[in-house]
Amino acid sequence: MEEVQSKVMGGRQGDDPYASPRWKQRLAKFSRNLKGIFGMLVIGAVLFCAIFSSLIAPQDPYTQSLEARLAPPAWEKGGQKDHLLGTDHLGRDVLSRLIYGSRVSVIVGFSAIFVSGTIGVLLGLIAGYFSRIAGAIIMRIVDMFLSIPYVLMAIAVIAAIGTGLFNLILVLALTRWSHYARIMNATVIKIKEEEYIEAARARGNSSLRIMVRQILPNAIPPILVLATLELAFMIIMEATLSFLGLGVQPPTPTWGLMSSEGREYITVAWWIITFSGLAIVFTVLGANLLGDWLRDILDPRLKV
Amino acid sequence: MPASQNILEIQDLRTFFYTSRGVVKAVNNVSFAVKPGEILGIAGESGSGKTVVALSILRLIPFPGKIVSGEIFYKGEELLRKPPSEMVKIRGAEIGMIFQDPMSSLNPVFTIGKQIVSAIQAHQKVSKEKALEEAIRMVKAVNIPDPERRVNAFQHEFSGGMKQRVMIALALSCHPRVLIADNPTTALDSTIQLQFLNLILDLRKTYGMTILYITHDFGIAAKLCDRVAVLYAGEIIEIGSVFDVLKSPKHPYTRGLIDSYPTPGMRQKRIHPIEGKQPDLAFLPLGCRFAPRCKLVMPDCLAADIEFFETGTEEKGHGVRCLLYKGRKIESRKSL
Amino acid sequence: MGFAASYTKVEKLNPENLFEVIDLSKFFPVYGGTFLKKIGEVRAVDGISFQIQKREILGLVGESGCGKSTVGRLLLRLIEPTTGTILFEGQDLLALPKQDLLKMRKEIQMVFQDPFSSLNPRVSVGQTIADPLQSLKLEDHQAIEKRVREMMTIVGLDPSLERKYPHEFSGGDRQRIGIAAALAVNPKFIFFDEPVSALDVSAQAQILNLIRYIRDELEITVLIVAHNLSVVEYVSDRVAVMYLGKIVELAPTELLYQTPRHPYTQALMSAIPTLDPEEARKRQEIVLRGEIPSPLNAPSGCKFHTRCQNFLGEVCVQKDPPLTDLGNGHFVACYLVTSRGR
Repeated sequence: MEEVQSKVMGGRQGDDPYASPRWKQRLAKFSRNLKGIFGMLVIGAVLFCAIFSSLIAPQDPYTQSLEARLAPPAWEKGGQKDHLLGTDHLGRDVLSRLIYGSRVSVIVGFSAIFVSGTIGVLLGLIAGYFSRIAGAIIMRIVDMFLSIPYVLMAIAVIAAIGTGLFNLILVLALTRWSHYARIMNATVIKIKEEEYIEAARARGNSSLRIMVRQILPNAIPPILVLATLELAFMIIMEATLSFLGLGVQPPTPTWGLMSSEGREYITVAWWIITFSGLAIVFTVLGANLLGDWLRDILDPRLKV
Repeated sequence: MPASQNILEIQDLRTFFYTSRGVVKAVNNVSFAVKPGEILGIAGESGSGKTVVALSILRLIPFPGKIVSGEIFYKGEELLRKPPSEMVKIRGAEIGMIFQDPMSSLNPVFTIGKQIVSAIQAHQKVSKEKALEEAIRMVKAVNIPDPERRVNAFQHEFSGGMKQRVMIALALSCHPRVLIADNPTTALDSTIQLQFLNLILDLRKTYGMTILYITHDFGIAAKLCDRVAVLYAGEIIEIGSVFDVLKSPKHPYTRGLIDSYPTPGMRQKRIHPIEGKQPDLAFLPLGCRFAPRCKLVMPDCLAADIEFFETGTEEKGHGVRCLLYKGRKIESRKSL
Repeated sequence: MGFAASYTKVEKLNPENLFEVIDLSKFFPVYGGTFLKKIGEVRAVDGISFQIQKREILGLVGESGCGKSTVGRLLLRLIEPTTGTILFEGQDLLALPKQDLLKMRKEIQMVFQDPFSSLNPRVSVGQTIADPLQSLKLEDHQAIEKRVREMMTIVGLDPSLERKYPHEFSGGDRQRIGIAAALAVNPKFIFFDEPVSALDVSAQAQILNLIRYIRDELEITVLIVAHNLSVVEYVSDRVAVMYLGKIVELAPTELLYQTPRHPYTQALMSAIPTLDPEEARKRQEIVLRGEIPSPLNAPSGCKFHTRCQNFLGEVCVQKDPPLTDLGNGHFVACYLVTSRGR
């Protein structure tokens, strides 16, 4: 209403919505939905690759071949039809490794999100509801975790427990749970003051019942949005850690490892790091757009 | 050409909202005229279209709404055909508006003095000092004590009733000829509301302003207004002097609404509320909008849209949109 | 404590009373300054005493800051009182241990003011109505289903709509859902906190008739809080008027509306809008000067003295006037009225 008031009192020219072109608003609405479609397509493609890798990959990702090493992509001079995107320094097919690599990203990504999300949501719920004491303690711990750079934390933890897929998921969960907890805490504190919570109390609900049945369903949407955005983080972090040798170990194909290995050969074989890098970029972009779109949909104020 | 004695004339106004559910016909064929210096009440329940009428006059209808047809004459000039640059000059300086919720209409980060000053300076070329003097004068005019000090206060330092008075001061600072008030007392306590209504009457006397007062409370209309128009589902269904409409209501809806008010002495009897609910403005049936709830409904009521019939005299019109009063059709909008 | 002599002693331990409230107070501390020390307190409810008789509808009116909503919440123990006693059916409500408190919720229920924010937007309306039955572990699944439909019918809603969500209903219907949820556990008492303020006139009338039905047919005791005097007059048997945490007048409805004695009550009556334009212009209005004082800085002595049209002088500033019995169940807290006699 303040906008309307300022228009009444003498606003800027051209503020009159009556004169605003309808096509502009339609375009805005379309582009909002467009990013959702794009995001879903990309993430869908990645999932598809992960699930059906054995069916769609043209070659076995582990097979090495000394003659075929460092072969360029098929459309370049010296490329072969068998290896559409070329081969790496051990003669392994890049395209197949890319497709199989999506598995690691998906498994690590989804598992880490699940673990960190569960921990974060639970702790955030308790912190928000019992904000005076438990909340104060938990949020200080959250602050601590938020301030530690994740690479350092990863180095420390992996040095202690060793490398491996499971350990990688654990490390990722440890570094990200605090993000969920922070959002959950803020959301719960706000919801706690709503009148329907007081009504639930008047109707005999115990604190536990209120937290689970009344607050949680209302607090979940921002968490869902965060989760899709977290997928992007997970993939980048896995890539970074594998790049540094702290993540999944070779010869398992992962986009991070491929980038790390491809780095050494960038002057003679640009395709290794380029395609693995592009895979990361597109997946992250897709996840971000999907998260953006989800946030738009779940916001009742925007009419998407 | 419209009569020159009316300061504001609305003819056949239609404002629709194009939503994903369908076309919501918020204002559907509304016509009325306002004489200079009179207080016209626009009464109706929520969803009847009263706020949309006000926003249409100032052409502040937000997307996805659109003023589809009609004419709005202010001092003889048609407003809907004016370019945005001219409307900007009219808003505030010629036609002002005060809103329902003072908390969201006043900017919390500026002092009220600054807001009044910037409003004044938006319409006139005056120095900051002169504008501040005027602002203090306005704050005083709305009976806020200690105006010189209070102009430097922020909106949260005022109570609800005072905030609304600040809104009036803000609106008055540009000296508009017409003031549109959209339900400004909804959030106020009854004793504060009484002060506020008396203030409006005083200001009308002092400045000779024309006031379009939107309300859902007939009690306020009874105290404040000279004439009142009753809105239902986007149409005016009855309009006349406040004495005629409230003491001898003609339209079944007006009658039903008046009967729904708990008035002193009702304890022994029972209030008979109107059955049913308001129609969905996106799916309006043909014929009288009130027909599904009307106890006096006749077959003809559903056949075609109902016209306006005159039941009063030429000087003191009392228009009713109801077939029960089929007789003299209202030709000229001037008498509305 | 002068009121005790003239007021409560006779009515104490009367079996006809569902509630007996004695000297109830609720103070909210206010913190401020750099070290967040307690710089003052808001006396939302300041030592009030009254009874609610079985099967009566007691109305509580007043403007912002008078404490009426707080009173209801204290009776429900949604807020803990600072001092005072609340007896429910003769039992001390404030001495109840935690487990029994939950059981008490079955008997003492509440309907909230804002139909738009008092229902969980992500819970179906049927589930909201079933919720009190489930959390108090009252009945089995089938019986609960049946009761939900029964309640919806009683309040005038179509039971087949039970899976819908609150935003699909109008304000009046949402209020009905809230009432259905309160009725579900078959309470002895329901506190209605401004049940019709957010509603249109026609929806308002329907809900008020429903409240009368709840008392007449279901024999439930009601406390209704509202700022609209006409609404309160229509449904209540007795009415109490509050100002800044104190009860200033209490009387059977007809008596209060025909002969209001307290100057504040008289001003309130004068502010009731009448639908008759002639009367609106002719009648003598009492327009109070000034604003309602902030509860943080309540005036000394009689809290109303700063705006009172009948201000007597020193006596009003010194000491708070006690609630005095004028006979016929009419109580007033005003030196002018009591010094003049009846």
